[in-house]
Amino acid sequence: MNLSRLAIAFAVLSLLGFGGGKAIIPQMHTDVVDNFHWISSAEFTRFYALGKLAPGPTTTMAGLVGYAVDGMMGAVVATVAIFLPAGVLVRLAGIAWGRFDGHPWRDRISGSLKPVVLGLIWAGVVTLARGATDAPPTALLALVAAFILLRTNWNQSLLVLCAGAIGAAMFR
Amino acid sequence: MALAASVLPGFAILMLLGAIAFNAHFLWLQGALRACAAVAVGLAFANAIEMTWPRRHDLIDLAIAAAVAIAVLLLHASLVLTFLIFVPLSFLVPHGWRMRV
Repeated sequence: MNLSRLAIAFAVLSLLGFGGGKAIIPQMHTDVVDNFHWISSAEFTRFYALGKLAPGPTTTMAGLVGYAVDGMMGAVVATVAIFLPAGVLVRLAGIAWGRFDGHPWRDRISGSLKPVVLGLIWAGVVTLARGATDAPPTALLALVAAFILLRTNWNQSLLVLCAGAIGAAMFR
Repeated sequence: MALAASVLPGFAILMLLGAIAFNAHFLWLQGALRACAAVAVGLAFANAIEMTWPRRHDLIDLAIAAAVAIAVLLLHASLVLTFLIFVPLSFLVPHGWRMRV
């Protein structure tokens, strides 16, 4: 039962993932935390952080949600469900999109999607922040990380790893 | 095949990290995960700023983005509803306004 729910929930998210993985973060949070109660909000943000350490897109974290629900089988089902429908859709859309090359409506459609995706990304930031910045030290860590990323070209995974070392010393 | 090749290494590493995270009985490990999550929020925040900055003069786009964020966060609008309402709005409204300008 859980496996089929996992597959459907992530397949739907996959098909709605216009603008990349970050745009589906709020809906993924609503589904897995609020609707199905598979994980807590804090766990969701931790899975997102672990997803940053692994190569590949943000949505790889779906595997961890799947693991929390139904072990390794859940992880495999969630990962396939989040990537396969989008992969097929991208292939089909790519063919259709190519046919309208140079058409003025093509730019307008993609231009119309951009502010919507931007709004979804900001909603995702707030959603993640609710589960992770529960105290002044964690809020400060988040702000420092944002400042470093905006001012330097540091690797994001390296920043997360450094934070892990700081957190291990700070929050025990 | 390409999809599998791009996903599998990340999946394998993620499962290794997950195995550690799911057995985080040590306080220091829980602390590390808490800090990683906080920093991940900071990174997402910085990415959002980077994506917004080039469009900072486009007030219509900013207003639509703000409306989308409010609809999702406060009104709990689903992703389907958000796309159904705001993509056509974004497609039509700016064009009309720009035509007048």
